[in-house]
Amino acid sequence: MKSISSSVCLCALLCVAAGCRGARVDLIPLNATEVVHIAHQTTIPADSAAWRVMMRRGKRDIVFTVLTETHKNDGLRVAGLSDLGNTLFLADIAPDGHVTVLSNKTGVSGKRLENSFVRDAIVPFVYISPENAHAYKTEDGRIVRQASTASGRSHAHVYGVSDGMVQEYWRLHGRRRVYRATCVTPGAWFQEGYEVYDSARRYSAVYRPLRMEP
Amino acid sequence: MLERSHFLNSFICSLACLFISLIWAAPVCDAFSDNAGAAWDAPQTQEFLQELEACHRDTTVMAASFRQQKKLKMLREPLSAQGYICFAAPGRLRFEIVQPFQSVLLYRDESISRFEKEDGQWKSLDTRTVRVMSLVMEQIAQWMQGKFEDSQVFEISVTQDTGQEPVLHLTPSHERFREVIAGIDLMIGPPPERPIQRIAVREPDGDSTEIMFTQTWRGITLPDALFQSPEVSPEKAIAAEKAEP
Repeated sequence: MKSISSSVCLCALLCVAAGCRGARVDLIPLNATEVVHIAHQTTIPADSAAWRVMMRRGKRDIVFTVLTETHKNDGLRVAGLSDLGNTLFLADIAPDGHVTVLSNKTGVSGKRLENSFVRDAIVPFVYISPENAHAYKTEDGRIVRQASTASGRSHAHVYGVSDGMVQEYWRLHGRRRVYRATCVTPGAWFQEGYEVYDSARRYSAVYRPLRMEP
Repeated sequence: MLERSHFLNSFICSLACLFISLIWAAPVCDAFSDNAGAAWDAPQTQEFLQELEACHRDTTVMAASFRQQKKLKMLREPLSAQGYICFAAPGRLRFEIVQPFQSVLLYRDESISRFEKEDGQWKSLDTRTVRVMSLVMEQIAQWMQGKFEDSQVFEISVTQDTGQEPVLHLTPSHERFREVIAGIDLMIGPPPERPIQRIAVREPDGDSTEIMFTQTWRGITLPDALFQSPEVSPEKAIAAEKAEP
């Protein structure tokens, strides 16, 4: 009986661990023609953006507003606000992607804040340079531009087959996709918003752009 | 994800501002100055608080529309929102943002519920804020009776510029609260109503939130459904009440 229970526990742990590691993605190298095709795809980020965020972790919902602005040094600034106006967090992101948490009243650690609330908010601003990236194809034929990050991991943009628009943003640990942000309408990140799923931290979030009245 | 203790502090302080605004809210008046005026002494302050209590202890039902503007030191663009606050004693509350997103917080029968409009449908949220409400409601009960003097949460002072109405300053007594909110300034209108015309919430890092009341309704009857369902619109409920003969 003891060995059966242990096996069940082990299986459960392995299942959980596999989920946390994220889905495996098999990327197929592209030929030169296809590389040229995506090399001209660029996204022009907005100067600023305001998002209504609905985050779900387990059964719990967390709802807040995020403001993101570009700055003179090409960096970004991100602020999270509660409905009643309190500043939940402030962060500064350098052009090289380094995040400095300036204020954190969320109760989570600065590292966790950086890797969830802050990194989610800057997804539409991420630029992957063609010079430093490798191009691949997914099994369903979409094109992927993947580059290494400062942390030694990698990230990628996924482009649609027919329109060449950016459909998704991934973070990868080796061949495992641990983070996926999907644009509601390919290419229209700032106009239509996006959905996030982080398999490592096990949360999902929906980012809807706020349209301000004049 | 947000730890309860930190979020609770933030939530309570926010609700504190909200409920203060609820008790005395009045349309904004541009005559007020932002400058800090001369500080009143303790007897004068006490007398003023007694006057406020006398003015507002009979308020049992009210609604107000507001404009809220959040300014952050490190960002160029402020965030503006519009909404409604509705209250009916004992302990029924509705806080609603209508622009640029739609969210509703309902408090009734010692339970709180939150809703967010998504794709045209109201979605109920599990935000687990129920436990903090008893603390908040205890504070509200005191404020509803105008009992600022006995506040365990805020230290109170009053300043006044020459020719201007007084400004009530609430400073959180507890250090943990001051980490979230440095102070709340309430711009008080003239007697006999002594309404609050504008609220400024100052945060320690220089950020601020300003709440300006665009319209206030008192002495009305609000339908119970307003405090039960996000579907009922405050605007329509108030319009229906005014249309009653």
